[in-house]
Amino acid sequence: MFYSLPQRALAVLFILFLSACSGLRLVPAYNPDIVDGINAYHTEMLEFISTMETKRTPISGSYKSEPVTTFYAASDAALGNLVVQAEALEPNDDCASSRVTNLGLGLVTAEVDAVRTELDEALGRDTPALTDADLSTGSCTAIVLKALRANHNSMADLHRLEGKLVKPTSTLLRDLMNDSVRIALTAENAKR
Amino acid sequence: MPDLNDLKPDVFVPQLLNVARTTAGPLWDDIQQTASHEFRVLALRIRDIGEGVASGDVSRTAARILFRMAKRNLIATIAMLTIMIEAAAQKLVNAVLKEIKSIVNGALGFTLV
Repeated sequence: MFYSLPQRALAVLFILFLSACSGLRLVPAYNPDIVDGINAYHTEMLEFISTMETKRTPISGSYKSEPVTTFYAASDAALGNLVVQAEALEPNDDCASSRVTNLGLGLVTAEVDAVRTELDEALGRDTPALTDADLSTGSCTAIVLKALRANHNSMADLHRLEGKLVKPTSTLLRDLMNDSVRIALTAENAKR
Repeated sequence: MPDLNDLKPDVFVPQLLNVARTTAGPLWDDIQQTASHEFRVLALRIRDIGEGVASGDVSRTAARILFRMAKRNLIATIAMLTIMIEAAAQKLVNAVLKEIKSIVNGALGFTLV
């Protein structure tokens, strides 16, 4: 069915007027819980890396020590909760730009498996770690948070690989984790 | 008393364009600056990883892990910019709609919209 130009113009005006009453929403509302969660993680992560840099004995700064494994597990759980919160707010949303970037970078191809196999062999583990989060599906907020969580788990992998977390590797890690946190905070703050 | 002169296109449209310009300008500047900063930082990180490997301070396996983290940050940056653009579009459209509401209601002398 075809509509005349005036009819279509009237329809557009009507939609605009309806929108004027309620306001258009393209992004979900700003969520202070997500910002608080990211900030809490950031503080703990910076403190953890600083502490690790000063612990050069085989036991105190070792990946296998209890405070270290506790930190990685607890922080992973906290970040996992943030991802779920974001997914719950936009369960059917799709961040098309990330999907395209992901495909372009080849992160969803065989390259992932090759790197994972190499890491698994280097770390001598039987089951793959949770470092290959799916960054091609979900809302943009969920993808930003999944990237932060995956990078946290990569930090654990690197710690496990090196045994200890000392400079200069720890400096590179801190910079990359700071970047992940800043990106996640900027994304959430843009919704204000 | 209604003043329908405010609803003439040559009065109405410039007002809307002015609202759009003043709303979108700072938002777009912010997006541009953020994108530029994040891509520059990403380039620095990749350079630092390369330098670490070249100097022998960082093993190749460690470099692969660090590089994958940088790649994830690139994907996260694209997602973040998408959110910023959508949020800016939302603010722009809502500012223009608010202005339409104000002009129409003001001109008619009662709340129609």
